[in-house]
Amino acid sequence: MIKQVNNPIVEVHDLTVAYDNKPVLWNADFSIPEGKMIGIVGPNGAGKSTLLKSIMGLTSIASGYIKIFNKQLNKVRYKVAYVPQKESVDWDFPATVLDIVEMGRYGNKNLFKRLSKYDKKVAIEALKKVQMLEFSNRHISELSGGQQQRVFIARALAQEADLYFMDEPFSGVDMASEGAIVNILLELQRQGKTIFVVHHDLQSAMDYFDWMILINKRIVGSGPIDEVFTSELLQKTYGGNLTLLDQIGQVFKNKQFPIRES
Amino acid sequence: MDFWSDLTYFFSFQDANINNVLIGTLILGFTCGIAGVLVILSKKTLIVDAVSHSVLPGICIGFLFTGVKNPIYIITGGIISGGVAVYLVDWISRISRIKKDASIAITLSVLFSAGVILLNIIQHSGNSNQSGLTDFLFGKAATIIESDLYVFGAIGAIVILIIILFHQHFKIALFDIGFAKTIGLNEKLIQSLVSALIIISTAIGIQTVGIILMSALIITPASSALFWTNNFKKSILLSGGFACISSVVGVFISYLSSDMPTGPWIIVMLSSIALFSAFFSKKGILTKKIKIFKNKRKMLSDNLLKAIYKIYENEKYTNKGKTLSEISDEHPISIADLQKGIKILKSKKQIANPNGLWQLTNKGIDEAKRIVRAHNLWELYMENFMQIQPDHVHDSAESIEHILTPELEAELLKKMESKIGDIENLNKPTD
Repeated sequence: MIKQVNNPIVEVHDLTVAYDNKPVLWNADFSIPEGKMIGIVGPNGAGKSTLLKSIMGLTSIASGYIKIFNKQLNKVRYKVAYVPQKESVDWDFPATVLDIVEMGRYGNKNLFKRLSKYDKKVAIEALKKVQMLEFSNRHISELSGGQQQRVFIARALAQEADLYFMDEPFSGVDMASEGAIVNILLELQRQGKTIFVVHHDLQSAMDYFDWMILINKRIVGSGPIDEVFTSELLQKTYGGNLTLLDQIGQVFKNKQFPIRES
Repeated sequence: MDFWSDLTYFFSFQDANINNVLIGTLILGFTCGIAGVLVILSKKTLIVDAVSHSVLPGICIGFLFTGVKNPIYIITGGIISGGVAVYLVDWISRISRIKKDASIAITLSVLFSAGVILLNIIQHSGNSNQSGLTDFLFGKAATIIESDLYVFGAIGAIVILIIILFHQHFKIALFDIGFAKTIGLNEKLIQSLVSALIIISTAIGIQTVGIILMSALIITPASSALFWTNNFKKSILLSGGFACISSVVGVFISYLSSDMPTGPWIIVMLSSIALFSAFFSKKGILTKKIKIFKNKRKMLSDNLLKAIYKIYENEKYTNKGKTLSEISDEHPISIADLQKGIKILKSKKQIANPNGLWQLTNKGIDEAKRIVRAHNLWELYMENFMQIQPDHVHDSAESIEHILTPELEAELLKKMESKIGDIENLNKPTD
């Protein structure tokens, strides 16, 4: 069940992504309307982060294209914010909480320039929103996992984007932080922003999202949550045997055969 | 001449030869020091060793071209072969199954042996200008002359300029390359700039410390600096500062005694700073040990205080003065520990000894109540919110009572309000 929409804010067309020539995401093709909170849900190794990374241009793609606001990503970068998994960085880096959040202001700014008063104000506001203002001068290694995640979200908020992509913002986060983060996301949605969230807890997915992408090596479903969150589609996502798909992928890798003929 | 007159002569900056060596070494040290922080943060420290060994063939070819030790040709040669090394490391691990650390080792040994072969050929060629080319192995700062300074200065300025211009790029990309790319930063540009910094600073740095010690000149000051500060810019400046201090000391020592080599002394000094930082900085080993020591003292004295308080509670405050043996009946610990604990409590003014007997001061009673309250609160919390067996909560509470902050205590109190009847009960010690 993949529901295509008119005037999508994100359009993914026939996207195949491969690592070392082994496809990990096959022929993803879907479109997403504006203003939704979208959950990307699927089992481990289903390609959730890969999907996000390929939309953000962080990994090369074997086929297909992605359009954001009906344009190439490069033209609309300043409208898009990305929150990577917090495990992807070294938290011993010499920087304070405020330093990291201020980095968000360079999203749509010349890096050779200094931050303006307005930039600094936005960064402080972002810290306030994630309730981390009192930690602004702390070194980032002195934070708990939930606090680190909130710093990352504050950096994204400081970008003042219209479209947010968040990779597992709830992983390794305590309940209080999770609640705080959900409230921030809901507030963003009220302002008309669109938010993609990689998530792997089915229980809470039901409560958080109004649009859902079910994924396991391919897109199983994409649409409003009440149409997609069905036992049949969940069964297809989480059950089912994908060893054949895996074997075919392995053939591509072993033979280093092109995934598309041209 | 004695030490003091040597010292005053050295720092009067009258001697042009000394000044040349000092200024040259300072430029090289500062350049390598500030570049080092970026090298460490980009996790490229192993590459430095590969590059420093790989500049040797370039230096030799630079010499073969001209037949003289012209610094411009030699440094250019070094930069080119350093660049080849960086490219090779990347290329080998990209096209084959060989991992990066192995390709670094391969590149390093292949290019270094090529350099040694060339060096041998030059030495047997009968060119009298070649003497001193082997200095590049261990470095020889004493040979720095005025014309070298212009070359070093120009190249050092390039490094400083790159870092000033691109510091924001470096900061964002070296912390989180994924995020950096999504805001349009070019990963290749950043990687190339860091590589360029490594190659340039190596090509000039080997003049002082030589190929073998080169990676220490880049990595050691930066590692020390990162112990002391959590600020990106400050860590760069501090690293440069450490390198400068070490350079001055190295040059001064080799001035005092002509047997003493400058380069190795710079590294000895840098390593001492690194060792000092590892022990004495806020993030250092000693700070940790001091914390452990303080924790032990706190546990000892808190427990003693609690024991006396317990006697008071049992006797309903009838008789306040206690002898040491009465205390140790309630709280059996070794005499040494008992005396140590008493001393700590006395210094905190929690107990006093007005008439040969020990008694709690008001401050001591308040503190004891606080500890007991923290203990009881935590036990209540564990039983009611964490569903832990009542016979398992005591040990955890014994340790929590020492470190519970007032804020957390207030929070616990709020959470447990419904479970606590009379607040005063919280101050009653349990066993």
